[in-house]
Amino acid sequence: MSDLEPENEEKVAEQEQPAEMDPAKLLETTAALQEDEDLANIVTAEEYLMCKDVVLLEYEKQMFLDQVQADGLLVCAKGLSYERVLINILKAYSDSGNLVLVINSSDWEEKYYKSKMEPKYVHEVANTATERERVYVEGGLQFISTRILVVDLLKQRIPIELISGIIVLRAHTIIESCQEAFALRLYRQKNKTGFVKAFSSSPEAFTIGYSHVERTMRNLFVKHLYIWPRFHATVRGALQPWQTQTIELHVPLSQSMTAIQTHILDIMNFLVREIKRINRTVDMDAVTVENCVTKKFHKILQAQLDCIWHQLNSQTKLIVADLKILRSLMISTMYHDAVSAYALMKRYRSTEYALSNSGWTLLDAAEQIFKLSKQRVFNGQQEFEPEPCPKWQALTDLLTQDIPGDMHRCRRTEQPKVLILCQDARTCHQLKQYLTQGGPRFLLQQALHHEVPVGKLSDKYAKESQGSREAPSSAMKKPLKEEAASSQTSAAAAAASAAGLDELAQLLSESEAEGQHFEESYMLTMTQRMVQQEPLLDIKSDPDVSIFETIPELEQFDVTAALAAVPHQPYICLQTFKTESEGAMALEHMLEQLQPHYVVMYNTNVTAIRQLEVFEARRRLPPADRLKVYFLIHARTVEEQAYLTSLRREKAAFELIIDTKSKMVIPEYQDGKTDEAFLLFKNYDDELAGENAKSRQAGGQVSQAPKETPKVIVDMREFRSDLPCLIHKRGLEVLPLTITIGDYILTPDVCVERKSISDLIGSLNSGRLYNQCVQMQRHYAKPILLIEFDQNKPFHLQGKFMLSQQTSMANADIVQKLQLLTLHFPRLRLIWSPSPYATAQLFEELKLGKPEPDPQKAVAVGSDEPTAGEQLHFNSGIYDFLLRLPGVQTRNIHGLLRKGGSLRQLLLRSQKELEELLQSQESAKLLYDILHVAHLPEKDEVAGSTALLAAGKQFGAGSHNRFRKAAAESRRGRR
Amino acid sequence: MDDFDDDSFNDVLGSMEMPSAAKQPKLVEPPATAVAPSNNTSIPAPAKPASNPHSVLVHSKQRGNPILKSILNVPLEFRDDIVPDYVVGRTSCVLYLSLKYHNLNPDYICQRLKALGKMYELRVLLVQVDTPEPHNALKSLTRISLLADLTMMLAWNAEEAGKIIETYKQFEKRPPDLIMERVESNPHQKLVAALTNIKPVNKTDAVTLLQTFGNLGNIITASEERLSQVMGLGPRKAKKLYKTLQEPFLSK
Repeated sequence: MSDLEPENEEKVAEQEQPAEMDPAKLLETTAALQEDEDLANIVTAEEYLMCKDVVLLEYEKQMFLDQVQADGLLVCAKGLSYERVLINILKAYSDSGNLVLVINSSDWEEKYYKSKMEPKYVHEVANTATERERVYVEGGLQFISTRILVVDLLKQRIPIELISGIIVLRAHTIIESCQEAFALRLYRQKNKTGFVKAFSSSPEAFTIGYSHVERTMRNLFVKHLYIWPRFHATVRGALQPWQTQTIELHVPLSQSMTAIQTHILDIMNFLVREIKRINRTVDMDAVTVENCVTKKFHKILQAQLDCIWHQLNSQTKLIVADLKILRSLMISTMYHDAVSAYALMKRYRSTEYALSNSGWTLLDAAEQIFKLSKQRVFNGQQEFEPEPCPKWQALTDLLTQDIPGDMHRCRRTEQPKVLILCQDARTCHQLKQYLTQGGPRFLLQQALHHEVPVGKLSDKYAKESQGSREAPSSAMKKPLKEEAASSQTSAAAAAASAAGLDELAQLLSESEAEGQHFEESYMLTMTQRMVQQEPLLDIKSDPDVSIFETIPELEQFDVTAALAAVPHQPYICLQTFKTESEGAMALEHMLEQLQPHYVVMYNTNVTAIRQLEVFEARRRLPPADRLKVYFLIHARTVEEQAYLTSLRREKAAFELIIDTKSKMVIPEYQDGKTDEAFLLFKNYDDELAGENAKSRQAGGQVSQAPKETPKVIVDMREFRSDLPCLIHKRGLEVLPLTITIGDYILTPDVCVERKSISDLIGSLNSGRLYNQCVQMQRHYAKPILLIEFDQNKPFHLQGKFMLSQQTSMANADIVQKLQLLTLHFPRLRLIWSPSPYATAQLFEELKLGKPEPDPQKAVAVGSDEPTAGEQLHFNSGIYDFLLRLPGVQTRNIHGLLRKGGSLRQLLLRSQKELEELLQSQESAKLLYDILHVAHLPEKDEVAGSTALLAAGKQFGAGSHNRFRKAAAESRRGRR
Repeated sequence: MDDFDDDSFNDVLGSMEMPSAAKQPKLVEPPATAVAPSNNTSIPAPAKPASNPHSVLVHSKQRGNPILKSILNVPLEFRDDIVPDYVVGRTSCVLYLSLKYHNLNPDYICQRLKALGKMYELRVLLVQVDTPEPHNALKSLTRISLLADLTMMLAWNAEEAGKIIETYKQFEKRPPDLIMERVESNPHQKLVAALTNIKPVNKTDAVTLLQTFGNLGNIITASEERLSQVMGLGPRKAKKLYKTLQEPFLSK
């Protein structure tokens, strides 16, 4: 790693890290560790890379140098992991003389990076404002939520000039109007020297929308774009020499699975054509059968349909929902066991569903699907004989024959360590159960779990499950179990049904005790002695026997401990590609800890495959010692197709980005380090911070110097929306405050309540808007209701796009309610704004020549309720929940929260005790009732829903017929 | 075309004064001469009540306006002695403006407003959005409506516009119950409302949950895994629901 070629432009880096090099600052640190001294001696980024403990691949070094030399946006392929690069950048900057902020990180990313850093430089973000102010001054690294950061930047709690830099993760999400962009702009206005480094590993995200890359870079204030696709020469050069041995095992699908797959694809195809036929005018590029089977289908669909969702008629919406259902059926058929798949199918065969879907269940293909999935579980005599997953046998063969055989060939003496990777916790659980209990038993358990009527077991199946149950017991050599097994065997001999019942009872209790708790990883071992070479042959001869058992150390999930527990046995670990707590880093972590010899890819995943490559490139082992990767694929099925599609999409995305980069024009001022950039945004920057603070305290002074920045008071809660950011961008000063009435106060008279369309509908229906208007009218001379449309959606409340009867009815209803509101609040002004951008512009114009709002008054108005300060101590989720229960009101909720403990504890209380808490007999009775008595929907509710069903029937009948006809026609056409 | 809107209005707007409270019975000052000489010299005076109290008074000039065709449920009465285009109640009136016309003749609305003065309590400016790029014109109209105390309503076609006028008349004496917070008396509905308040849980989920578990107590005591098995409730929703329900009331 020391043979790094020196590069010419390296000197730039010297200017990049002045703060770090400053020895005076270093002296201030109390504990000057060795590492600090090392860091202090480093002058260039290159020298940093030469340090002994920096282990990076060739391309990672290049990434590091790029990012350190000049601020930029780094886009790398999935699985290539910029994580290490980032860790090293963070390490290089971790010093109490620096304040580095990391924004837009997900939970697991935050945890991951924190664990890799020295704790003394990582500061937790404090809860209170004053505490935060103190922590900011201490320097170091902070992972901060952007909403807090924006408010702190606005309120100048954070010393903006002293921030060394901001690191933006998941940079593809940074759009102009988002909080992160807002924070960066605030930062860049005051701070011209700090850095901004952005990272993204989602090239696909940059393909959405018009010139997404350029915009993102502008928002990030970076001038450079670094692209690292898998096909980059340096990446290839780094990974190529360390290629792993890969063996693809093509597992054929069972006949019925193939048939089901074909039928589902048929229906999907039909629905896709139907959707396109209904919506000729709408762009439905994303809705293709190919996309339907890919993993990201939901996301793709959401991106494409979200902006036109309200224009779609109900039939289209139903079809979209059905496509999702079909996708889940497909997944269930392909990846889950036959019994669960059948259980899922059965749900969609109910009459209720048949009435509410788009009609696909009436197609012949659907009938076939139902029939076939039933056949997978029951044999011709309606006996329970589920079909095992085709990959199971392949997996067992691998574990019991190929891998031991390979070990034998290679003459390895140590025990093999095998890592099995699968896509989700469910598959993981399935494999664990299969390996430990055997397939038939697992399937029976599934049947009980899903309440599939088992009825009679077929003879063959009964025998199989017996056999597999005997096996583990004999392997474990526990007399107790043997007894149980033998008794079972005799019972089975007596009567198959009796055995079935016995088993049912036993299994039922077992599965209930165990539940179905899906873990994301499991540790297994083979129970039979495999230290000697001979028993290998035994296993080969006895393939049905289950020879795996879990390692008890599972609970702590400590790989080393587990390894120590079974030093002389083969070691098998089941793991998902991603875990919830660690994200994609879980796999890397696992690989490092386990150092497996074999990896079995039970499912395929681009990221995971690349992670394996990178792992191997890091280890730099001779070919014989490298990983052996087995792929278990159903060739020429949707599984393979989904994998190929994801590869293709990523490649296309990179090509687009590379193409964009070659044509991109970046203005000199884009980095925001000169004032030029902000002149465009009408900046009032020359105003001093002190003056600012003064005028804020004085408040509402009308006649000030003409230079005075117009101010807008913004409710703290509004910082979730885009508008504050855009208001600021127009050069208005944003004062974040917690106000109870209105969202924005423009002048002492003008108070604005902002409502997006969905909010408007919701709050008109719930009555919240009425109350808000009452409040506004009471305290402000000019209350304004701002109706804000989404910029991506057409500027319509209703209109010709509404095809279906129901939706336009609902919309007319909204207009009527709005009219009623205006009738009762004649002073309420309505503003119809096509987008937040337009709103910001309008605000600016409305502010011209008007007096500034008074922050103190705005806060004081309407905040006489005692809740404001106290609320913080309560968990807001439970507060809102309780408040909606009968018997709980704003006046008695505090007592309840203070003394109630938790919901579970409330349950244990008697009505009398509740009475004390709520200080009202009536309330206590209401609350007690709601907790303990079953409440059924009232008659009118039921009547309403049945009426709806009936209407649906009537409405649906026509469409179903049409469906049938269309389906019949399409069939005829095929012939 | 869009540019001159703003310029020509600024004078007019500048001359209008901002009332601090809406109900001041004060007349608008005669506007600056920059505006084309007004031809409407009628002195603003409240109109005589209609012969039928349930009918919408329509100014004769509105005859032939296509929006009238979709006013079906209230009678119309054509009058010459009213200032606004439509009178939909004792204290409410409607001015109709088509954006197409406004773009051609931006002074028109100012003259109308001048004539209207401060009459009526609720003054609706009904704008029919019939141009492809309405935003600039709407913005200037918004400013006008803020300064001249108009409530702006938008309609995207003639039928909608007609419906809006009709609804104003029909709702003239309607109490606000429809838009006020309803007190859910039914405990089941209340429970559903409470459960749906927890973020990812929707109404269907809430109903299913209550159906599956019977009462709230059982939902609270259910394990996360049991929750996740309820149809329609994935592990994500179950996790969130479980977390919220198990949370202690007081945060540390």
